[in-house]
Amino acid sequence: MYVHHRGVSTAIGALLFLLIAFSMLGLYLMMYNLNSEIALTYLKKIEEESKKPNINFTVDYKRRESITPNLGSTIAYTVFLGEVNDDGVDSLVAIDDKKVMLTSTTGQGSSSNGGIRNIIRNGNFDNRELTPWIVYPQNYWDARNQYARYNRLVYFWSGGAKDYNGFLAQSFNYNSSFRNPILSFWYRYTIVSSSFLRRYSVNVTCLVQILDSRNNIIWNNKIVSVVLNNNNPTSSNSWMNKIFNLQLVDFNDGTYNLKFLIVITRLSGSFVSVNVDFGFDNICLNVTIPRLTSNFYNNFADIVFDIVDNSFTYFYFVSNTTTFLEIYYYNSSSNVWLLDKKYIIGDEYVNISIAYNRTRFFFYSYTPFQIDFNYVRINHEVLASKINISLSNTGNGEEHIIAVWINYTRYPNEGTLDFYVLPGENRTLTVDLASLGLSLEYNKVYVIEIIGVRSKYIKNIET
Amino acid sequence: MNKRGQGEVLATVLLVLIVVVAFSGIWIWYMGRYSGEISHLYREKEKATISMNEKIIIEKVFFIQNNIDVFVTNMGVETDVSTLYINDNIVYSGNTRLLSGSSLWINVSYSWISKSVYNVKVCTYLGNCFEVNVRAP
Repeated sequence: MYVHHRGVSTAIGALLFLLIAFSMLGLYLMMYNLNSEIALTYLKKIEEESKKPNINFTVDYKRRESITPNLGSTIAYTVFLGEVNDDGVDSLVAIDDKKVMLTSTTGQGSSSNGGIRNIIRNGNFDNRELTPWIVYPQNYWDARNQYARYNRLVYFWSGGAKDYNGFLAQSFNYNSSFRNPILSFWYRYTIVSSSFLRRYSVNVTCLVQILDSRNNIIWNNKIVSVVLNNNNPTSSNSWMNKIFNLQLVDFNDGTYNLKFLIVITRLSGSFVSVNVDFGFDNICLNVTIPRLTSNFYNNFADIVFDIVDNSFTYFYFVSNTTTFLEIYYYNSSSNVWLLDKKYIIGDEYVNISIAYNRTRFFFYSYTPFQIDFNYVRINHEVLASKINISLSNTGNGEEHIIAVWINYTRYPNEGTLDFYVLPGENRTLTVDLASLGLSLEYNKVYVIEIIGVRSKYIKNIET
Repeated sequence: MNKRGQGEVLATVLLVLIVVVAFSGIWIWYMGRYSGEISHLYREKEKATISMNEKIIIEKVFFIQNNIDVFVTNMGVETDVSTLYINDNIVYSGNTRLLSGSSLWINVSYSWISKSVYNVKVCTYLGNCFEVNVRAP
């Protein structure tokens, strides 16, 4: 009986002990559960992070607008070989009866034994113009007196330039069938130097050069080299004739450049003024055309079109007979014409697209021909007021684009974009520059930064 | 005989009473700790979740004469931006509230050297840091 009563309190004690033990176990299980939940969230996060997006993007910041091909304003032409007639400023505006008609010219003496042809254009400057010659620096050249004149006053001082260059150049096409190339021209010069300091010395040289299409000099000849000093301050020569036989020059089929280069160099002294006055006239590069054979093309037409900058142009024209066409484009950095494409055209209209603003059409054929340029479509490329950013995601994670920076300007001004690029997606994001008070300008660099939640993507564009 | 029995019953009742009282004391003390621990655990879990979902994006760093301007955007949960480090030096400390989706300019005076690379790090109150390396212009 005594034992039984003590057992009751032991049982109650044990019960309460078990209560506390179970509650501690519950706490432990709860901690374990919370830790598991956190670990699971972390694992999900890690899994999300391990899926990486791979974003590539391009920026389209130009748009094309069609402009009317008015002769003399948006498009101009110059004919170097052949005769041309047009039906006014709107000759090329539409496919209609108005045209620019180019008729071929025939090589000299071509009827029987071949003949001699001058492949330099406007070498006598009778029209008082320098076209198609390329001159540098432009301000110091003119053809007012029916010859090319280079008149320039230069000053040398101790800290200034050591030499000054000027040139007169023209590109020409050479055919490997040409024989006996002879270069001839007239030239004169007057050079006057002075210095208020006693001793000085300057050198003036004039070189005649032929350069190939890669701008390598393949022939070079010094026609003037004078040294002037305080004892001998002037030098002049009246008109003289020079003739060079270029038979040994390694000409191939292609475009070459004839260049008259004048170099004024200070040898010693300072504060020296030098006035050079050079004249060039009757420049000819005569080639002998072999006796006509069935494979020789003796009818030519050569026309250069100048179109507004940054344009893409479609020419629509036809020939009245089978005619060969070579299209050249002008490389202004090296001052040469480079061959772009060759075509054979017949008596059906052809449509040729050109991406250059200065294009030369050189036609040749067995028989005399006429080319009718009927229509020209000019797509002028301008900088857009809205840029389109094309994004593609080749990764396996999504990307959320929140902003775009264009140099120092953010799009949008405030807040973030709700623009997602899912894996495998291609999407275009349009940024209205006008809404940001921004407009693109030519010859500038813009840094486009696409801000994504996962990463940043950068590209530079040069307008 | 009867009196002796009463003493035993009384002793047993007293013993039960002592056990109950003692355990009640332990239980009251323990429950306080227990509920405190549970709340702490939930708080920690919430903090960890918030911390995990913080996401500050350093969009742009401008280098201006003797100044560096940092443009940041919060793409995570609402947070407090507390410090900005440049090359591990604290250049800004505060407690700026940044709502989710909103942005903030942090402008600091700093003598930077052209063409050098700088590590820009933004830290939140919860201790998360977000950094970028940028080259001065």
